[in-house]
Amino acid sequence: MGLRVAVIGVGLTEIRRKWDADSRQLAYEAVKSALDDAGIEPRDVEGILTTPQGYFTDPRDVDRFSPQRMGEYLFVNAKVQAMVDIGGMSSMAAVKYGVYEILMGRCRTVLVYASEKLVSRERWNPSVHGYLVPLVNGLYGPYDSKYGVMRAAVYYAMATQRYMYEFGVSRETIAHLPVVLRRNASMNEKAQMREPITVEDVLRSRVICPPLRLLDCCPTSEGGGAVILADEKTAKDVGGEACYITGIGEVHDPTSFFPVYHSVTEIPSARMAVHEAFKQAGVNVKDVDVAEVYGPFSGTELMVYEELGFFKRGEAGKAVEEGRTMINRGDVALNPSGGRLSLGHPPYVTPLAEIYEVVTQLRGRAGVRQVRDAEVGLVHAEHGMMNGNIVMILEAG
Amino acid sequence: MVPRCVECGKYIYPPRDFCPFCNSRRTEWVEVEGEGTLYAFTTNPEGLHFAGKTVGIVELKEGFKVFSLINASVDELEVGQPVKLEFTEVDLGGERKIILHSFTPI
Repeated sequence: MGLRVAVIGVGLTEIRRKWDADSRQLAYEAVKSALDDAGIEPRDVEGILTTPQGYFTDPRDVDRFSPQRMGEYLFVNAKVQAMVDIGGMSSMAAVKYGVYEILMGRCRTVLVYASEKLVSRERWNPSVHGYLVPLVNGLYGPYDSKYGVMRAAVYYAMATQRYMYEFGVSRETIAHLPVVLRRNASMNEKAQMREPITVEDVLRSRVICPPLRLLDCCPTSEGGGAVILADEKTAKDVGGEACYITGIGEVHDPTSFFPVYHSVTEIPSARMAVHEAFKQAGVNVKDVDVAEVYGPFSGTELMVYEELGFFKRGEAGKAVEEGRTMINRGDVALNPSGGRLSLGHPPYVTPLAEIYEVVTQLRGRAGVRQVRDAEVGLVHAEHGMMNGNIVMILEAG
Repeated sequence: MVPRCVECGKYIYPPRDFCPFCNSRRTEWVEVEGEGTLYAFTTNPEGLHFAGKTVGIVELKEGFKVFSLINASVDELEVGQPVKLEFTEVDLGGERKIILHSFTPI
């Protein structure tokens, strides 16, 4: 018997550069939307899983007791509460643990939520926020952090450089991806970046870490997301528009940032994770109609497309340029939400935003950006610089 | 200096006290020649003490890669070019100093 755990409700705030609402309000908004979407009451929630509220977060938005607080807010006797932290894939990992709680029969429903808040430049106060600098620098490990690394773009830039070098992919080819993603986001009212852009805009935007330019990079973003899981019987009793998680794969490389032991243009853990997920679901890459992929930078997003099996190595750029990842134009719709580059990327929320989009597509409720006959969806998330990967297969109910 | 496995001879980076390749517990710290090729490079835009400096990944002759400072501007560099090890003293402000490895194009 294969895996079959329902997603009965999804909620997502708009993704914005800055919200006035704090991390709790964003979480509550997303959770209320997910409860309404599922058609259940707060008291029906039996498990509560979440993530931290960000890496570069004001102390007033940090809540290490967030699951307890959510249990108090919902006023439920939860059978599990936990905060899961494994970098960018945290909220998808939390969904996986929620699936396990349901499979064990401990919970009939599990709420997974996340919200992300950042310290804005305007509000930066060294005496309040200065302690965050060594914390963020420390993410890059005892060796690399000594060189003052403060953002992952440094690694992603070098991976993109190698990708161009090894496969002869041009800078211009890569620039088509942000354009396609922006086009998708222009049809998504929750997206942060919705103004259409051109290849020239990408190539003329300012250099961040060469060869990456501003429009190759995800923006900094805030928002909240929530997903409600249930066993199949509960999903049927509730009677909403359930989709089903039918496959999960998760693999972590023995590396924490730059992969020392294999080529940086290869992501073996993504390949292994997608293989595991497909095998469990009994589907293959050709069956996938729509996918939300965790690509925080353009070049690496192309590599992920390849490692998930959508295109051969070195060929994703050309495929994107030919429109083969666009909604209802090509083989598969990839990041119809606008992806990390244009939907916006609050890392702890992103996996839930991906599930939100794929569930919306599988229900046929994505409006102008609806992928025709979407029945099989894939969501992907990662941590580090693609050092760990998780993939889930979702199918329409 | 980098640990090397006494049994299988592989270099172990980042350093560990066992060999991740053959699981031997017998490792020794050995000197490397300090020569290699530039695997990839970019600019570290707002890095602490290194804002705007070039950083890169160097593939050493001994067969492992390290992240390091590259003593050249990105315009002067090419993937695959030979580089050699140096040591750079960095002033961290106050009395604090740190010595880091860096690489210079040959």
